[in-house]
Amino acid sequence: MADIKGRLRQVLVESLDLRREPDTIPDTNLVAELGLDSINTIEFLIWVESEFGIEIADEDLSVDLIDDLSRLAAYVEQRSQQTVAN
Amino acid sequence: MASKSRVIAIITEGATPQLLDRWTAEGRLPNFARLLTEGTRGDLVADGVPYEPPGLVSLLTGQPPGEHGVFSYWSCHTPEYRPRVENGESSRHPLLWRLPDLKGVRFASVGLFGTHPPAPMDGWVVSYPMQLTLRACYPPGLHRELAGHGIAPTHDTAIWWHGQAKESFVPDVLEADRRRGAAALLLYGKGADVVLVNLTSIDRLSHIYWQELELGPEHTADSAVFAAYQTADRVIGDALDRADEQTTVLAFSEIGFGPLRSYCAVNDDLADAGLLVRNTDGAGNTTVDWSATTAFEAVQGTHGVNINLRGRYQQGTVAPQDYHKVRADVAEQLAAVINPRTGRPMFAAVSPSEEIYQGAAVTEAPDLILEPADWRYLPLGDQTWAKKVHRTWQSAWHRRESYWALAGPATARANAVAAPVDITATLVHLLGRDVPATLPGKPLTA
Repeated sequence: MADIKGRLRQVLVESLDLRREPDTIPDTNLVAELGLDSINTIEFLIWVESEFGIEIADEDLSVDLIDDLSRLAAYVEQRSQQTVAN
Repeated sequence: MASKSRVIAIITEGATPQLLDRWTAEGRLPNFARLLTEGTRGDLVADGVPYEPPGLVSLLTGQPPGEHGVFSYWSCHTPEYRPRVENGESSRHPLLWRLPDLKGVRFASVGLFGTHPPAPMDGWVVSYPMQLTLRACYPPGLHRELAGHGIAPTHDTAIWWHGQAKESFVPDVLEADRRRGAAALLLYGKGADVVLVNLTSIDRLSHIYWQELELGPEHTADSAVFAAYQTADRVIGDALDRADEQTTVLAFSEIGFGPLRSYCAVNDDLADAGLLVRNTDGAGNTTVDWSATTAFEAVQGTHGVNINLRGRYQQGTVAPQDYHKVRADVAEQLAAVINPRTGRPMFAAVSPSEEIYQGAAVTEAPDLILEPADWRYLPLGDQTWAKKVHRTWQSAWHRRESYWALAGPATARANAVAAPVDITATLVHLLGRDVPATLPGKPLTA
């Protein structure tokens, strides 16, 4: 899980062109901390799909999913396992 | 005509001829002026009720609304009375790039309603999703590719107006159009034979900020609507600059625009006539009693009224054998409605849908179509979706009259009056192809 969170931090920095080091990104409250909105969230999650080789379903798109890095990492892990199983 | 002819078609959605003429004459839109000077122009008149979905799907299929069956962003009839979101699978006719007659033509389509979900094709699509999605591009890697050029697609559903300050809304709307224009030209550079790009900011900002134009011409430079026209103007300029000698640049809008004073709830008129019954609970919430209702407003933007037909609706009250008589009675009642704001008739005509739309899909249209007597006062429409888009806050709505203009190697009939299907036929003709017999449009270039 820690590895996934580390990769997610890196993707956040690259996809949103953030001027900060990945390890300075906190685990929680990402929407307020990074100024995430419906535009850059889409951008970030498309990069997440590409980075992890998963598909994020439209019905799973929510503020809750991207506001908490642990929750998003768990989701990525679950989708990765589903992808492997399929 | 050379077989390698290409087309860049730019939809300046909502552009109205009066503003185009005024601002080009004042030198404010130099690239529109270039297009008009170097090429030819004429009027475009929408079929039936002027609304983006029927117009765009007509462009994409070459068929009129009565044939393709898309009259709104939402379906007009569902058994449970709740309009369902329409998409590219709602049309009864294939998109242009699926026509056998156009095999071998590489299309690129950016931001047109009616193209979502994007399906595999010999070309590129940035669709127009009606919800947040990560799957609005074909090929799937197109989003990342465009992002790599700093022009990641942003969809209108991600830029929602909820009453926020102009400064925090308008720039995002304009930026979305700038990116659409840039993406279209990038795909032109990758070899698309036909590039279709829909710029939506004129429409979106005209709905919300039209009242700024009524402050007087000295406020034009600061108006959001003018900023949208300027954005479209830059896209047209870029296209004219990039187009080679075999490429035609075609600009048009499927709808025009004009002022709005108020939406008027036709359901109130139907209730006054005893044709619609409402229940109110203890908390003051009002709902329609479908089991006692004869007629009700169709989804917003269709200017339609539906008959509560048994078999079509879960609680239909009108027997099929009574349909035509009941519809005629409802039409008669509505024709007599007076607009309390003007003291004049509310509607110039109340027509059976088959008098407005012709084709195999006319049953998808509302049963009656209302022609406003004064287009500043328009039918409110079903409220299921209207509240989500803050419809009652708008200060302008569509008009039928808009424009087309083209410049390039082909010549068109100046001042010809076009329907949306004529634009499709023109695209095909500009490619050097015969217009398929199944398409009813007439090329402006013939």
